[in-house]
Amino acid sequence: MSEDEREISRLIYVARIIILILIIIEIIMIIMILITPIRRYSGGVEGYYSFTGYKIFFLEEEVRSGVLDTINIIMETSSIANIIAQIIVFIMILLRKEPIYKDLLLGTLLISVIYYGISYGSLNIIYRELSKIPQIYNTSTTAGIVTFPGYNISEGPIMFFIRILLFVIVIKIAVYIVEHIYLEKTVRSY
Amino acid sequence: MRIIDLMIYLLSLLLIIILVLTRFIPIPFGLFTVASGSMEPSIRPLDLAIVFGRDYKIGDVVVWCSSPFYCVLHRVVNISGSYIITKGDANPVSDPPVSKDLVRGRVVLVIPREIWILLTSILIGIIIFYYRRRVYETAIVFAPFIAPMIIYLLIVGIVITLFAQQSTIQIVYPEIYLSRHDIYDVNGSCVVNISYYVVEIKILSIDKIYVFNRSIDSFNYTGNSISFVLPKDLALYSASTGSRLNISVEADLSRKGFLKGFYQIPVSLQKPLIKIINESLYIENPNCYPLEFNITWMFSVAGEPWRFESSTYVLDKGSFVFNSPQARFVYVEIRYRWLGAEFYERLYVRG
Repeated sequence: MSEDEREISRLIYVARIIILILIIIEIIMIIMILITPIRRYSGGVEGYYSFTGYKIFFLEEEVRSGVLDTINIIMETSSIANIIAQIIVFIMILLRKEPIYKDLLLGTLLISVIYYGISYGSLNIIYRELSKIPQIYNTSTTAGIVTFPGYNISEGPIMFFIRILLFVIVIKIAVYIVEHIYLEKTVRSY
Repeated sequence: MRIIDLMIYLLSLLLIIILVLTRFIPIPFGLFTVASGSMEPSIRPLDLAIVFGRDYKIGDVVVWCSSPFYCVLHRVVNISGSYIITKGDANPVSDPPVSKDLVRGRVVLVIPREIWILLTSILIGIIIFYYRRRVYETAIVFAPFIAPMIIYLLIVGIVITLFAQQSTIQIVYPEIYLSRHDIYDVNGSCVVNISYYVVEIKILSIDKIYVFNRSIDSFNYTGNSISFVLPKDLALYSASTGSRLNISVEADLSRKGFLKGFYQIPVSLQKPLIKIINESLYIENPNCYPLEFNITWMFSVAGEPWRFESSTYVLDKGSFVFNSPQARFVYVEIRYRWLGAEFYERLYVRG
């Protein structure tokens, strides 16, 4: 093996290490996206919403929504399926299952892109749905002035995790392209 | 190209047109899969609804779409002008009114999920079997990296199909209104009752009740009413001056609410009955409000000057008899205040 071949093999090795690290980061991000509360409410509206579940009380009355339930199920299923796919690729890389690993990695990259779309889209639907929780206002009726406590919303760092996920996916694609298109072609040319 | 290939292509093309294009082009024909259980038990999730024609009436099931990706299959419960109101059979409330322009058509046939899924599966199976060689060759090339994505999309798609619900957040805002207030007689005492009309809220506790700036310590309440005995001196003041009862209430409500109410309750009184019976003064107060009477007896024994005896009485509800003094000539003067006016009566008793 020439010096150049050894250098390229070393680069491929580094690329795979990077992909392993990126897979771990991606799995962590998926878990964080899944469990981090997207919104917390305090005051007249109390509770939280996360992709794994929600408990929201509007003036002590529990809020239920079919849309929120559906998003939870979709996100839980797609996250678990994505994590399983990532773990399989991770194991394949460790076991050096060369031909399967290459195709599976491309497959999971496509899954990651779809997962990013699902999580970003779900987040938009969630925000739209949660905006249907009405503002609390004091009313003046024939009974007198009825006051209710207002409420505060604190946003969780979900967008931060989604951006990191996107960043990780982009780097993974870049590394994949470099490893499988450029480096392997170079190896074959020797 | 063989005739069977042509048929399969034409069938596929037709299906694509029906499934995709009818979503975007507002033609009164289409196939819709039911996503939720809002029309159960007559139409279940995953049933296939065939929509045809815009001729519908109250009681028909129609499909209306607010966007190509959001359609509702519900029963028409009201048609008014250019709007219709629909309702899912299993839903407790109607949908908001929608324009007739959004209606895609009337549901003319519902194919149960067991039938159409089975038939479609068989059809797909036959097509795959017919093109088995081509399918195999394609799968060999693309399977390794396409398969994970297809499995993933299938899982997500099945989850969406099985569990997708369209019911959104519906919150009933708590409301409380004054229903009535009245004062009624309970064993000669005036009891004030304030009733409320409540929606999704109730009275939890009473913080303060004031009548003319006097704190009331003893009261009863239920989820939608408050009652208390009006103190006698305030009742007397109100009856004699005719002032409305100024009542302020501060109450804790359920659902973290707080009520601060101010009510003016008018006083309704009957006039007291005053007369002489058997040379005695008879006064009857029919009200739960006490009244204050100033009674002055004027009497004289023959040949002596007139004498006067004056007394003030606060009379609760009931009948009262006052014996006249022992004298040859007797008159009585009664003064009392009633609803802000002073009344005066002089009655002949004896002589």
